[in-house]
Amino acid sequence: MQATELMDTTSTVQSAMNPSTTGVSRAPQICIIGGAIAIVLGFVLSSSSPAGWLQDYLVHYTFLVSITLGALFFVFLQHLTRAGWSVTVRRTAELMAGTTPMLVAVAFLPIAVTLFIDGLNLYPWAASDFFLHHPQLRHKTIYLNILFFLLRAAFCLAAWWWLGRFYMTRSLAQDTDGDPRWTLVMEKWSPAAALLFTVTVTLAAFDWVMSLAPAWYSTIFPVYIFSGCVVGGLAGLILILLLAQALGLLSHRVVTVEHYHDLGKLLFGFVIFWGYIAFSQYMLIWYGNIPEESQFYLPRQQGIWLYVSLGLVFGHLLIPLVGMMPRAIKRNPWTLGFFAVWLLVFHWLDLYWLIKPNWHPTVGPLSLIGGILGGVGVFGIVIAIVLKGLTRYPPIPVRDPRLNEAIHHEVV
Amino acid sequence: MNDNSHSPTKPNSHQPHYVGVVARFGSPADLMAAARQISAAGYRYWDCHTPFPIHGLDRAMKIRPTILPWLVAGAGAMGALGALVLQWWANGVAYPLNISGKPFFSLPANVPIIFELTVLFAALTAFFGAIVLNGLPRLLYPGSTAASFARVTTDAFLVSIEAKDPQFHPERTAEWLRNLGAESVELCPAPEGDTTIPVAIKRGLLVLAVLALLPPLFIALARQHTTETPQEKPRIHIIKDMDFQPKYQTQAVSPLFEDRRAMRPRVPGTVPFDPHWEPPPEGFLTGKIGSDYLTEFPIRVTEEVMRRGRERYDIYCATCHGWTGEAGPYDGMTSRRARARGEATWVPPASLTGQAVREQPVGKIFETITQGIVREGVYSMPPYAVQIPPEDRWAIVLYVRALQRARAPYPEDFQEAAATASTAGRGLIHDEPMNSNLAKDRRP
Amino acid sequence: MGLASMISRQPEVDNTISDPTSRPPLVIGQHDFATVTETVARIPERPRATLAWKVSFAVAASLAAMFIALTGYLFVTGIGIWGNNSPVFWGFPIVNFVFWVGIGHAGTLISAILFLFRQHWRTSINRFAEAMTVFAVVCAGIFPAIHVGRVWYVYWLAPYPNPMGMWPNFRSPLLWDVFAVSTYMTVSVLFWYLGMIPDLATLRDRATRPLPRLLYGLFSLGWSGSARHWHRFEKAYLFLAALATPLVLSVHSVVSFDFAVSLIPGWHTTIFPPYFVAGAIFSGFAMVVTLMVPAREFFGLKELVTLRHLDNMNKFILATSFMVGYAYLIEVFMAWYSGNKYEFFTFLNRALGPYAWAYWTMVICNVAIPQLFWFKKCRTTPWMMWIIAIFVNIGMWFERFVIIVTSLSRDFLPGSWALYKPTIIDFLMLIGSFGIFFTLFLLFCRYLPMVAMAEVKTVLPQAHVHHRHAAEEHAPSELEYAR
Repeated sequence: MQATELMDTTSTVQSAMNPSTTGVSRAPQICIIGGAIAIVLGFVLSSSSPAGWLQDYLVHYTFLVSITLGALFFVFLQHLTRAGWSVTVRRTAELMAGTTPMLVAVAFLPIAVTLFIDGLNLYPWAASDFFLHHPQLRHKTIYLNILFFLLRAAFCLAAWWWLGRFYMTRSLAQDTDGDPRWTLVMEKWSPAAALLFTVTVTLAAFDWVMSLAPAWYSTIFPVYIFSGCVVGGLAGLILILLLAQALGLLSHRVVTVEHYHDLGKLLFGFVIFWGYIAFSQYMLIWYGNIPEESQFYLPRQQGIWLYVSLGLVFGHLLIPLVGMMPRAIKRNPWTLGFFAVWLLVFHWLDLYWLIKPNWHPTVGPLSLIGGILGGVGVFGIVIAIVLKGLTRYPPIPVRDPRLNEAIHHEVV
Repeated sequence: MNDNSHSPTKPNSHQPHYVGVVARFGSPADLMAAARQISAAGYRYWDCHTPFPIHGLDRAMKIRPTILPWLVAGAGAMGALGALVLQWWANGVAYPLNISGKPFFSLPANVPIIFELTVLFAALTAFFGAIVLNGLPRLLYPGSTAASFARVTTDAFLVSIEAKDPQFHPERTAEWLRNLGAESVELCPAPEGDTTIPVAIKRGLLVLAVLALLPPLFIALARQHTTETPQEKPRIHIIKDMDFQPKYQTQAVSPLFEDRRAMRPRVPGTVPFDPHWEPPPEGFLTGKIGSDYLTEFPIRVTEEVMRRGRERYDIYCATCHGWTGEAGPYDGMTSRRARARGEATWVPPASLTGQAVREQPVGKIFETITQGIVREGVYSMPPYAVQIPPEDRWAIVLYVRALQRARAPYPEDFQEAAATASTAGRGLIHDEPMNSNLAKDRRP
Repeated sequence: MGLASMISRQPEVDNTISDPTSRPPLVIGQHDFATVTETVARIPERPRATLAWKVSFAVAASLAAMFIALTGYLFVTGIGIWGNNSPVFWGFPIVNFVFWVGIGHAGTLISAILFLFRQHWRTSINRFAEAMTVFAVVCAGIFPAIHVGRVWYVYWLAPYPNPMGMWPNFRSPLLWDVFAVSTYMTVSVLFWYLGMIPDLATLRDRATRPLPRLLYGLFSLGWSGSARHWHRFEKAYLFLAALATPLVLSVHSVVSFDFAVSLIPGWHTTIFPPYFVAGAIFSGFAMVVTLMVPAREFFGLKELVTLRHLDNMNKFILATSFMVGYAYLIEVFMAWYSGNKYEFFTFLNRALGPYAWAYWTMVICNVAIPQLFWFKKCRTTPWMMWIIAIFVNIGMWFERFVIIVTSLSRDFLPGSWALYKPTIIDFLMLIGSFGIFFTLFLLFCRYLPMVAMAEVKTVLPQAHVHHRHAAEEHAPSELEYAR
């Protein structure tokens, strides 16, 4: 029994290593070019002013960050729980978290630069006369000042770069020597990774999104951002896996319908979690009805934002809740892929809804479409980077000690 | 060896009557293999018995997936809908309460209970659905008499085939099962003994049912009393010190004070505490200084005061005096009703726009509102001092003046209106920001 | 009799070694199905309880009796016997309510959430934890019922057509609580009972005396282990687990809404729902550890509830301790960031005001002491984890005390400030609630199967369908070990 299983695993792994790769090498280029075109087109459609482009840029940037963070969360969660089923999908997630941080760091620069230019400020508090006009917020100066903001941002970016590289390099090292101690190292550092992740996501949520409205605050906000990150990360992971398999980069024998089922279950669970956090925040602010807090939701109940809000309720929560409940949906790559795309779009919309109303009491539908196009473009770039990684490195951790479990995984 | 083409045999009258056969297998794997065979052989009335669920066994046995998921989903949906309708109806329609201004039908506030009832209905259905669909509670099974059945909840993996299956034949089926790998095979006779519920339990349930009827009976008896046939015995007070609290209530007698009142009057000389309080202008509270009625308004007259006066007049005065203050057919509704009913004691309200009231100074009108009118020892117009604070009373007086002027305008009013077609307020009231020719328009 | 029979002499086997190439056994000691059954079933089958059980039960029952007597005194005399005053209208009773409801959540997490995540190690502890949940929710539900003042009108909380034409206020979280806690109670009991049916059948089949046979038979509903029945049973179990998971999130969130929907500084903050849920899981796991460490010792369950199980639970305690600590930090940060001087004062008051002793007890017990669980030695030594778990329970009780009492005693208007002085009745009823809990729990240990035998059997190597008889196999592959 053991011998046949091992043989089976080995042959599966070998076939995974040598997939049919015709046309695969072009896929990353196509994605990058397509992604870039989509982003530019998106900017053109959505806005005609540099300020508008910058705002959309911020949305796209947080979208990019959220996907990579979601993937990072998935990776260290698997190590924290010593999971065996996910070994074959973990490499893709490692690549999502480990190959993108350079892009994430570089892409932050435009946002950092705008802090110094008074007319183009994304963040109102960065304007040199902001605290003069808002004396009641003056105490926030020691936190909301450009230097400290940039220091915190650097810390977050460095932390994510380091965490992503940590898991990716050690997993790749295990490919060569198959030493189980790599797994032990990755497991041992997972709690610390989780803590660092928590701190940095909290800081990023407060700094990059919440401070767009310097007078507003919500203690659950980082949790809200986190829940969106996981939804985006998981949806992105599912899509990239499906794409990789369609392109022949990843064998169907290593990532099976059982893995998709489990990823679908996780996605379903985190969609509910997102809904729970979103509802908690909304309901408590609605109930208290204090202008200090409700100033966040009031503009999001007017103009086109009302429809976007309702769209989020139905599209980000209710429809996936009912749609992804049946087992069959999660076990069919087409339906699961559909919901992965759906949730990526609505996750982008969630971030757009968080960020854009700070400047625009309403936006035209063209702006929305342009924004979504840009979001698609950003994801295209992520796909490109990860697919490149999948061709460069082994697509699965070929000598992970728990590989056997993953290959023979069955959802009972 | 398959018994596919076997036709059912009638049990021989000399043979003992079997209800089934029970075969014991050594491990889950053996059971699973046997189950596949039995299912492939086309048996229908058979089952496996295991101490724990074996994954894949239901597929091997080709058990039809249960409808339980649909029942649970349906029940959950009903729970959600029911909770929504309940909350909408109870708080939105039947008993609307103003809770800090929240909408009567507040969907965000209704979500928690919608969620809870969804879960509750779904969970109850899942539990009772599974029990009922399983046919539980159930006392006996064909095969319960087999010796190995006692071990099924510990470590035995059994197959049981019922006699009513068309392919069942005691010896042949038993032999076939042995060939499938059974460790032991037993043919099960019909269970002996009484399977009815023990008499003691039946009696106990009867007693309980009777006892359960007693409380509603007592309640029904107690509710025989109506307002025409009240109870003569006083209510039973179980918690005496809540019903008879040792505290003094308003209007009660208190032996502690000389005036024997539980309500204490205000200490003479107390004033309302207001750091910005200033004494009102003279005559503000009474409408006269000494015994002379005020002829000028003691308040600053603005359009806002006029509007307030109209609003307050419409609330308090129009019910008797009508919208325009005239007597006669344009009286207020109260007056018309009193006339329609032929109320003998009704004194029709005076015309506010007639000469008599027009010539009264503003202070006199104010005093009338404050004190009412007494005729032959009774109020023909009650005093409104309690309902209307002094500011509002002056506003009403101002509006009455406007009504009077509307009924008996000055010649200049026509000229003004014709000349400038301006909005109301010009020339009629002392409205400093709007008017520049106030002195000319001062009232007599 | 004697001490030897009170404390089992089972050796402690360390199965917490981390080896990525294999999954460690979850049941140690070469058990098969029959011996697992024997280990668990012999406890309720004892003809006479052990002395230890009898002594514990006597103590618990007397505390419970005291609670009942005090409740009677409360009904007759009124809320004034407690220390509730103006402005601290919610005192010990509500602290106790939230405390007990929180404890209940770990049971559902172990049963339901770990089931959905296929954590097979839950099978040894889930029955125990579910029982703890049911009894904790019983204790929890008592407090809001009796604290209403006119308890005989408590049925007015239910929406029923009445001659007054009145309906309850569905916009109040207090009513959401009624629905949430009742639903939680119902679902927990159903889940616990459903899982117990096969084990009750086991006890029925093993029973030799007529009364146990009758009662176990009655409550096992005639279960026969039929595969067709297992099919529906498993579906129902899965549904109850899938329903109980969001339910447990929602119940403690609704409890947190009791506070968070108000405008009181320190209460009105959006992080309350997940913070409370994390805190509930935290205190619940601590209670499971508190109960399980002696139970596995006294009842000889060390081979089923191994050090690995305890290790895993302690890791949960450490993780949720961080979540609770995170919430503390975020609240403090936001008290400053918001610029809301009332919020800022509230947190200053918590740390330095008249209840600072409670606040620092809370921080030390909830954040500092669980850090010891970074050390494997602490996670895998029963007496150490027991002490830490007790501190966590104390800390979590104080967390609710701090939240409720400090925010109420000093809110917006200094003229309304007053300190809260609990009376002796408050303390005695808190202790008495433990009496009720332990009475029920000891009865559970005595008469019901403490470990889910049927579920533990599924994680034994012999249960796997691809496993041949143990005699034929030399080294089962890693797949066949439980995960």
